[in-house]
Amino acid sequence: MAESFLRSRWFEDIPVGEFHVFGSHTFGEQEIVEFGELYTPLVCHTDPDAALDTRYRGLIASKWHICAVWMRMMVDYMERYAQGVEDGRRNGAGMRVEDLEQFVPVKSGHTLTFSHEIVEKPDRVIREKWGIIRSRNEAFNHRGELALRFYIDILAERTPK
Amino acid sequence: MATSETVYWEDIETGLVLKTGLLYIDALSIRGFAQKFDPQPYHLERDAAEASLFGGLCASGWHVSAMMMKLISEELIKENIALVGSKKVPWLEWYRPVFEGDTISARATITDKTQSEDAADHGLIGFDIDVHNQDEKTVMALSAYLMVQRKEENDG
Repeated sequence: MAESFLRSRWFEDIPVGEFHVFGSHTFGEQEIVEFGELYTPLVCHTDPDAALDTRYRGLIASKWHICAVWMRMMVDYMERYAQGVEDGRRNGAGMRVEDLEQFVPVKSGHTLTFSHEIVEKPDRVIREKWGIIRSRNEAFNHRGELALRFYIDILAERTPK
Repeated sequence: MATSETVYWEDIETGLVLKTGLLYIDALSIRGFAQKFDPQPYHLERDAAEASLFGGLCASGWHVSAMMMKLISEELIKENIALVGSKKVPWLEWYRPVFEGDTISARATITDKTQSEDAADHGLIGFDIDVHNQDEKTVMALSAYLMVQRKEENDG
């Protein structure tokens, strides 16, 4: 039921209030260090030993790493429910993020569970064919604490006239 | 601000503008990030990308965000600013795709200094950050609050 429900939807078909749980991801030491070495060169993200002397008392994932993992969780989740959709143009691009904030550190070995709720459909038409879907995205750790939250505006194709 | 001494939160003045180094974006790095974090056709395959709304192989928005952080971090480290990490991003907007062959760079203006609510060892510095390509076109902009170590903590 859920599969056909989400398949091939237009902007108009996506309801405010819809809620999804994309799944969980455990952050390993190696992936934290790999991301840190490429993009966030602070010892708390790159060096497990030196990170012990920081205020975090250990290696932590950067919020950009957590956001990148969120993206992967969303792509995989939507892929599962949109099998058979050939028109890739309907998978819209991200436009704007608001109130991205991290509340507790994510250390190696911690597991985050990602949730996604459609909160608003602003009344704007972009390039004549796109609408905006605004969602609240939250990541909770293994203790149930809110670790990170952001809102994102993603384009969705409007029903052709 | 050419100094070899550590620059703490107290030393930083609003209005200061930092210009970062340059970063060249090739197809390998676009695909490398996309395969791990954003496996959508316009970040992976040239043909699919050309047919998409972007019109060419381009980096994931989160890849551009991560590269922005790399440019900014390296600049702050070069200036000996005692960066602890980033705290929050009130807003961020992606304006244009970053295509293979583009070179990006960032300009950060310090707009704000506030005390941290949760710890005495650092303060917050507000930045307006503009990321642009080789044609000086803005590809992404954001407001970010970074945590910078305070002097007092280091006296003892």
